[in-house]
Amino acid sequence: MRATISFCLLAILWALPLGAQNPNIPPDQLMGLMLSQPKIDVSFPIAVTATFDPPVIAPGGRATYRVTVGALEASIEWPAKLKNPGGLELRTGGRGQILVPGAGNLIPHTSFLYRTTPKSAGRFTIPAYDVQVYGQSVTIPAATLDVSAGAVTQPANPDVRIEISPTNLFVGQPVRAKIIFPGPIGGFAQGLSTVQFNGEGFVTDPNTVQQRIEMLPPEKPFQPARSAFIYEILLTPIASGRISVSAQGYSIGNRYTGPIVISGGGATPQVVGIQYTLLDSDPLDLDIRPLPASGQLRGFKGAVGTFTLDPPRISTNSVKVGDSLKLTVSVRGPVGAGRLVAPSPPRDKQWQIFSAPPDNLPIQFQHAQGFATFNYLLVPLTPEVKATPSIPFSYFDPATGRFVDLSIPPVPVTVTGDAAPAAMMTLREKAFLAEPVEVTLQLNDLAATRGIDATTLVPLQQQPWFPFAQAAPAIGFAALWFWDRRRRHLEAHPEILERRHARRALKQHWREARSVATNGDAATYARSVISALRAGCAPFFPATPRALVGSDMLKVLPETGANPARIELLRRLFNLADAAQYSEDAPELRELLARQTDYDAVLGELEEKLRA
Amino acid sequence: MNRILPFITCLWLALLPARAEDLFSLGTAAYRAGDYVQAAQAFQKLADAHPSSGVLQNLGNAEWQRGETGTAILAWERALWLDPFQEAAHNNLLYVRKVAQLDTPQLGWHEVISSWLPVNWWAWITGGSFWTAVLMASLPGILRWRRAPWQQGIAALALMVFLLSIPAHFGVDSRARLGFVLQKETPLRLSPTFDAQSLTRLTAGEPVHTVRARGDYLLVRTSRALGWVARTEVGFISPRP
Repeated sequence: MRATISFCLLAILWALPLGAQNPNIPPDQLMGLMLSQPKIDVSFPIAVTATFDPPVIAPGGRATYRVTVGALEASIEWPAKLKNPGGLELRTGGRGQILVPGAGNLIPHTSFLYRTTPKSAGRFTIPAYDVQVYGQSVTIPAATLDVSAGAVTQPANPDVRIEISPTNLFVGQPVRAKIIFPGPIGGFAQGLSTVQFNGEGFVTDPNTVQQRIEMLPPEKPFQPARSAFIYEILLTPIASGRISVSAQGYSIGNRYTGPIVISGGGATPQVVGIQYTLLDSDPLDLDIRPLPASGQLRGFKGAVGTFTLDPPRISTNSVKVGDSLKLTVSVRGPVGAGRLVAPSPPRDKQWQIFSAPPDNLPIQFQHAQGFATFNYLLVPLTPEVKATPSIPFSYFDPATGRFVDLSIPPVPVTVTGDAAPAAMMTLREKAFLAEPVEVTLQLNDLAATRGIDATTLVPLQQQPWFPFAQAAPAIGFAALWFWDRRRRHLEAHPEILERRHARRALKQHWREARSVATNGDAATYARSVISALRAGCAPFFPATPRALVGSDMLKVLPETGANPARIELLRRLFNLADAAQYSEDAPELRELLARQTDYDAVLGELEEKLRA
Repeated sequence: MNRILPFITCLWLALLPARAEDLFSLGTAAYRAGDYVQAAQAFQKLADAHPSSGVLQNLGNAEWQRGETGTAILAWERALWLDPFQEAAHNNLLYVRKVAQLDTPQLGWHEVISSWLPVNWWAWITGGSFWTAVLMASLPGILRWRRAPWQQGIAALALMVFLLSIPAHFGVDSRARLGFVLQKETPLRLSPTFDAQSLTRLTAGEPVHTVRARGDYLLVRTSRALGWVARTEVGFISPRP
């Protein structure tokens, strides 16, 4: 047992150092390459210069305020806005960094440019100010610009300008942007390095750079020609509207980066001490229009320009069912043809079509050759086909403002052999049905009408009046329910309605009685009072009002029945009324009018009884 | 004055549609002429006064053409809020989100249901179906109609529609809190202060869900992170989320 434990401990102790050992890693080539590069100098003190270029100008002339700091750009905390001395308007220009070979190391140079065009004469000084570099404060020295009409303008650094033609473009329309850096008259043109385009809404393709030195035609008669360094690149706008493009680069003498063509008598400068100066161009405005939202044709893959199609070629004129043939077609165009995207292969029941890989050419060569080549692999599925299928392709022509169809035409081909097996055709059919139909998304056109209107975008249920609107039907429903309940109650108690009707009739006759009493019509007064009494007493008897007599009234009116004077009053009323109706001698009824107050009291008592 | 006031009101009401039509025509003409700034201004003014699906769709087009992706997406979303049957706004959103590589808002099932119909329809459907069910169940008794199976059927159907429409209301409520980043490179802050640490940068048109508000800042959830943005940096489908 001890021996076993000892052996295990020994084995563990023996294995531990093995696990801790580093694996045998081959030397990192990338690291080796990096270590072999010269060191970047980030030591203090840092060289800083700040100058106006040129330092003396006439009013309306242009000068550049250039600050160069011997440090990496990322390490400099540059102020967002500089002090504005005496109304001197400074416009932000280029900013960049270059690594300059030094004594066994690379010295970073970072430059900040500002442009100014003072209108009035004067002496403008930007005072010294501090910026943070590598976390330490570094003082930018003061710089002075003299603006004087009488002063001799000193020569400025050579001007860099940018040329793009045309400036009215469509989105996606490639155009060659040209930076021209002319040399002095009778001198040599210097090259530019770390060239950069500033602005938004466009892309540049570094694979399309072309550099050359050529002679510029003289700007004035009898002026000698000047050599100029020209840097060309393919620029493609990707946003509509007005975009501003400017360029910048460091003058590098004759230390060109990349291949360069020298033609037309141009010569390279014999520069001894190169001064790396950041130069920038004035911004150039481009008006970019969007492609039309309508009229797009099938097979449009963003090609904008004027293109032509070479006759398509096939790898063989005769092919068996199931074998493949290669279809090749070249599309030529003036600018940017090498960047064209091949149209998607169409769906065809008789062919299987695949996008073949493009030619294995360097991207620079593809751009230089000026055309794009599309390759497709086609597999016939039936011997019935006589030609390759047409492949839709279209482009947008900026000259005409229309989409143009440039579909790849069919090529005659002979297909031999039997049709593909039924099982394969069935699979093909299923795959054909399952293949998603390519939906070309595009911006839809404007709506012709205003569509569904709303007073607000806040949903109805979140508007303050909505709960009240919901209460309205609730109130209506409650009212309906109460009405039904009342109706049922009245149906169960019909005497309520009878009394209500009786009281209404009593009031009506009572009003008539008052009315005729005013006129002194005693006979009508008597009839109206009797009618009112009969109507009011009717609900208390199972009889019609006309059948009731005076004694019936006394049964209904206990107060009156207990009062002998009132009893006599009613009896007298009925007697006089009967006499007036049936007797030959008309009785004197005027006494009834004199007792109107008593009759009103009786009718009042009856009304109160009906109300109870 | 009492006589003039109704006249002025009638005149204003009569002129209002004409002015709206004028603005619509002005915006359309400016768009056709390529003046997208003026087109956007005209459609925006019209949308502020009388929001409608067609105006909002055109506003989205104009904003997109002038490079305002966030505002364009918000306008199209609002157009679909009013009229989800508007195919053009739907296609534009698909197109722009593909071009700008933006996420489509992730909607819950109740929010998806609420997007089937114009937003205001749900309130009418719910209210109408509820009261239809109540009346069909009680009216025959009140009005002493003979009870018939069709009355019961209508009541049952209305009740079913009422119950089914309730989730849509929750969907409408939560979709109203759906916002879209208006400006590109909008910082998503760690805390609701201007100088807060930026967690990430949001793209214009990126959808955000509001969690809560604090002062001028909103706590929003995106597909990537949870953080604070300023109220002015986000536009909501409903202006009162």
